[in-house]
Amino acid sequence: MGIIIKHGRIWYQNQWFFGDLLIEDGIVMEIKQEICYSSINHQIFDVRGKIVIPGLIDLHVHLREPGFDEKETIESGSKAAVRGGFTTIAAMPNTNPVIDQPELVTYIKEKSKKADYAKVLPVGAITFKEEGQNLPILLG
Amino acid sequence: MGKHLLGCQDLSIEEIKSILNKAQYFLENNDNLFSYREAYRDKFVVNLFLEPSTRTRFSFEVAEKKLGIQVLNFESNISSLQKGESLYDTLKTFEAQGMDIVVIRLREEGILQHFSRRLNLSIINAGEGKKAHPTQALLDLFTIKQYFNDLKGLNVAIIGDIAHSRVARSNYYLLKKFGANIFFSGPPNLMAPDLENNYLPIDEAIRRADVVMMLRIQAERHSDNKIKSKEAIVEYNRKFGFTEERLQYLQSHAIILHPAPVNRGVEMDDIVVDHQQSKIFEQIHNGVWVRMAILDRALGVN
Repeated sequence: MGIIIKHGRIWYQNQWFFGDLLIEDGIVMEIKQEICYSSINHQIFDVRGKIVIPGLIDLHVHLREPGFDEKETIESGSKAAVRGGFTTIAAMPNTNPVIDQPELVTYIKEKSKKADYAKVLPVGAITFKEEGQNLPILLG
Repeated sequence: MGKHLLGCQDLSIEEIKSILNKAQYFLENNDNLFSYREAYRDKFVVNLFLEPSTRTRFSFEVAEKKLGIQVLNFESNISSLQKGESLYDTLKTFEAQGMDIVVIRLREEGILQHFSRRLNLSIINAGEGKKAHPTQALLDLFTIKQYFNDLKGLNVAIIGDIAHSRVARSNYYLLKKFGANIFFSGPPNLMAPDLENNYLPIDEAIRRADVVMMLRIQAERHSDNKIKSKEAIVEYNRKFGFTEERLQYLQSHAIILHPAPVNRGVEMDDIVVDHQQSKIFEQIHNGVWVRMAILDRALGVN
């Protein structure tokens, strides 16, 4: 089963191009003006002129979790990211506690995997507790 | 090489369907074209009409502007063609200036095909002598498909000055691809020897037709002036025109088409032009969507 994105505005061969895109097994198989599909198993999305590009990456986001869940959580932040086209985000470590040990890295990875929106890359603090003194050990 | 539209014969069935589907998309998304206008604002089209045209030129211009393409209109009376520059050099000049598409109408037949192999900009044929008028045939097909699902076995009567009609030729080749039965009617001296001779007297042609396609007398292409006097026109109307009396032969499900401009009272009586089964103004309306689809195709990647 594949996915067909119809009437997309696709950045292709260095220009905007309006057409269809076929994805099978997670791989873009075909891009052309109109893809005639025979398989009824294909999932069709008519995006009517919306932009079709590889997922965007934001290297600087604040998910606020743990510690400030009232502002944002891993789930809400990564959901907002994919809504805006960002499929990979790098989460800053100034949470409470600061991301300065392997367990916290694992925590963010697992939480984001469970949320299943954007891929979250946890960014570790450069110094222990962000105190500017000692380097943390982030490998578990 | 550019993505040209030169004639209906060059198009595969798949390509034709793709153009018609896109035209349908534009019809349904007329209020949602922002994305196109943004993507195409750096694209340039030049409309080069070397034969008179109002309808086709305006139709193209509306289609171009709806898509947000930058439009340039070439005026042959103030241009270098008057100074003796060859058409090929004019087209090479457009290409060098960064035009993406040239929409061209001209009298000479066959040279577009020749030029197309040497040009990177896309050529869209907007009427070529007596030979081809593919965008008209495509919009006719689009209109026909709004009324008939299957073209296989559909009876299409093309009536009038077939000999001088590029519309008849383009429609003939296009509709044949889809399995339609085409027959001709009109003055015997205005039939086309280059097309299959499938002649029917007009009453019989109308009686059998699912689609009646009427044509204008192309007096400007006639070497003599036989059908210009008042008497000759009355005579033509009586013998070969779609008159009020002939409406009795029209099947209730049939539709009437005409590429326009219509000469009311010559090839068609007023009452026939304005008849509820006449889809002439729908054709003109559909022309915009079909031409948008053709322009969009020309700007696509190969």
